[in-house]
Amino acid sequence: MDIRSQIAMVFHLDKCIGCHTCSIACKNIWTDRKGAEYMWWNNVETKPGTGYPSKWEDQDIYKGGWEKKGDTVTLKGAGKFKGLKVLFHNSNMPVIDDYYEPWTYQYEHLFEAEEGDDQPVARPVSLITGDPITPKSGPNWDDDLSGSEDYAKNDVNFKNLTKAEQEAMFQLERMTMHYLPRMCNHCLNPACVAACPSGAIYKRGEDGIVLINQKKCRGWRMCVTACPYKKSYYNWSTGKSEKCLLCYPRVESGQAPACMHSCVGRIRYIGVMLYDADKIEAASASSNDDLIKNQLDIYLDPNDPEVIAAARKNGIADSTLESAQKSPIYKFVRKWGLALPLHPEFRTLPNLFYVPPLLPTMAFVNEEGSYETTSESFWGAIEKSRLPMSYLASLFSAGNEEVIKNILKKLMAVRLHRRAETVGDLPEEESKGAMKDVVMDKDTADAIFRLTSLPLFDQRFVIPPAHREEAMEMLESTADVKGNTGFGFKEPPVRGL
Amino acid sequence: MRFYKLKGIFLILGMAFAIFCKAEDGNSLFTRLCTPCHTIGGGRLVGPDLLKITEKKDKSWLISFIQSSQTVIKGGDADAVALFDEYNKIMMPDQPLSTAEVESVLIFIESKSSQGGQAGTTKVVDMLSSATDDNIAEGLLLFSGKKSLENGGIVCISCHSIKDDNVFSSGKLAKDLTLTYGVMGSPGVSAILNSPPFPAMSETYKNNPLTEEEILNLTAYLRFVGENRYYQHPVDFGTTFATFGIIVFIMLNLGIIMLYFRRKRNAVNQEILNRQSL
Repeated sequence: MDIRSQIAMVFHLDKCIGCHTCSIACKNIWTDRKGAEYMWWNNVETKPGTGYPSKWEDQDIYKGGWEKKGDTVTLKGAGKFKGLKVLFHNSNMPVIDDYYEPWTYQYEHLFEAEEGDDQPVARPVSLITGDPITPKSGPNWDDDLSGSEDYAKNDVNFKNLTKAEQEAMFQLERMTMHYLPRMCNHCLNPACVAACPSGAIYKRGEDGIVLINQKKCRGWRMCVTACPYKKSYYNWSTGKSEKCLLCYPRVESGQAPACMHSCVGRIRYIGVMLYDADKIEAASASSNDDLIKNQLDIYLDPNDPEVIAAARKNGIADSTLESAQKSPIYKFVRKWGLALPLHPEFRTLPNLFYVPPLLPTMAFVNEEGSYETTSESFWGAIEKSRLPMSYLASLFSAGNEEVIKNILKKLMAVRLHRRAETVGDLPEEESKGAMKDVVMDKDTADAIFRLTSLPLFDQRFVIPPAHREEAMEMLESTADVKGNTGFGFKEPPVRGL
Repeated sequence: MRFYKLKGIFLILGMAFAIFCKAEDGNSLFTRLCTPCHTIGGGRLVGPDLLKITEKKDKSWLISFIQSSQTVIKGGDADAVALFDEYNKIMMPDQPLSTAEVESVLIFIESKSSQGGQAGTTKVVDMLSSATDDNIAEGLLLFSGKKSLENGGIVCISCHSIKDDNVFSSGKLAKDLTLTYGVMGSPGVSAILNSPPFPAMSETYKNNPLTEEEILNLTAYLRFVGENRYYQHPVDFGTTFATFGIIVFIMLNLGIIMLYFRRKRNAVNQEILNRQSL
């Protein structure tokens, strides 16, 4: 057992209102720079939709992620030999139009235009070339199912759906959508790290945040190809690649990352997970059916004395263990089994988990014209859902519909239970029956309800103390420099000293 | 008055010293640049014996001939042309010497001549009398660069070509050496190798001279090549290399074009984007 700690996240999709506040918070802090204008380290997609960059989920196009090969996994489009072949000619990267050409408006023209017969306008200009352009696409161009014919219908997750099912999804009053906020998953088996020829990308030991060393990066862009979530971006101005850093300066000082802190729907949870690093290879190489189970089994119970002892032996601080025990992530992912990773079939073992959306599934219009939220056979709604199970399964469970159904049933049971508690319009046996079906007691259902609907700030964000002092002591003996400089220079200045 | 005396003494001393210097300088210049081909009273070598040359020839003629013999010959000077013809039309290399330096060499020749000569090679003994096939084989290795020169000098083949089936692809910067031995003989060849009078070669070997043994081996090899030149049939590659180069160039380009077409060049939504542009 090789126990390590990992900062992990849960996004509760039922709560996401698609306001993009997270994306803006991130952009204002990190990517409001030349060369980074097109980057959205955090973005919110509408599903069904092609996403950003377009069709990022289609690895036949982008060749990202890992492939199972015997007992282990190999990179699909990068790695030693494959990478060498395309090193000088990186052939499967998205082009700028797959993202979008970033633009701004010539606002100063409104003030500085010479007097004329026409009202001056602020023309859109490209932030790459500076030339006037007509914006043709944007990072959320297909928001709220806009352009469904072009975007939503080309959703990569439809490939397992029959033509009739697809057709049905786009019928009036059956049409449905939900949001999918995405950011770097800080994977346990990151393809970007494995693909980097310069060794510039690394996974931090203390909390598993994946970072690109800007000094080492040589701009080969193998990470852009290798990341199946397309969350590594090439900055054309600096010639280096950049990615989400989980606001590590904020995390180290105990604050939640900007996207999470600003989240209006409070859908985001962050916390520490303990995992067994020895299981990574086997889990990423499991067969498609076991994939989801094996990936989740990597995470260990932080209350198990054996795990605690092994973690202490591995140098994990007690404060981190304490955080792990309070972690909302552990509750959602392991204790209650409500959250699933996005596209586990990419085999990178992502650490961002999603509670699948229940709403578009259960709500459908009944014959009387009102929304049906319950029925005598309460699971009927799930079976007859507007959003086909195979669609959700394609997103969250590598095609395993049982896992999705089970989670939706649990979510539904909590809802029925709370409705029976607060409104009292349901017969008791209906809510009890639902709870019994998914093997859930009243306390658990209440706990799920509280953490979902009424969590406190400190319950959503359980960030372990960073212990930077220990990290420093691992790099150098602090006694050596004791009394030397005090306020010092990290790098020697060009002149002086 | 005393002051003038003192000045006079200094002047005389200075002049005497200057002459002394000049003579010494002339000696070293002569040894370095002239002995490969000339002697003073030692008989004819590659070029003529220079004994009492200053008495035979006008000083200004000598200076201009030494500085650039070809200019004088091309100028149509009858004596110079006759001399050139007499010595097998071997070009005397231009010497990068100032007029004062040439004068010092002439002073040295004059002083040597008055002592009866004998500078440079005195006796022409064929050093190759004891040369064996081993020397020739060793010479080939040295010439072709398969064996490096002991003092780190650049190998002959870098600049020189030769007609020998064993030597493939040689340099075109300097003269073809096939006939050199026939023209200069072993004293000439070995003297040149010992102390090259040609400006480029002299610079090249100034700090990495050839050893005695290497000179012997190379001279023996050059003699062998000269004697066997009629039996050599070097392969004429003609335009093979150029053709091969062009073919490889085209193939490389095709490869690059193929790579280009394998690349993801367009957006996945290109069709949508195209539709939007009116």
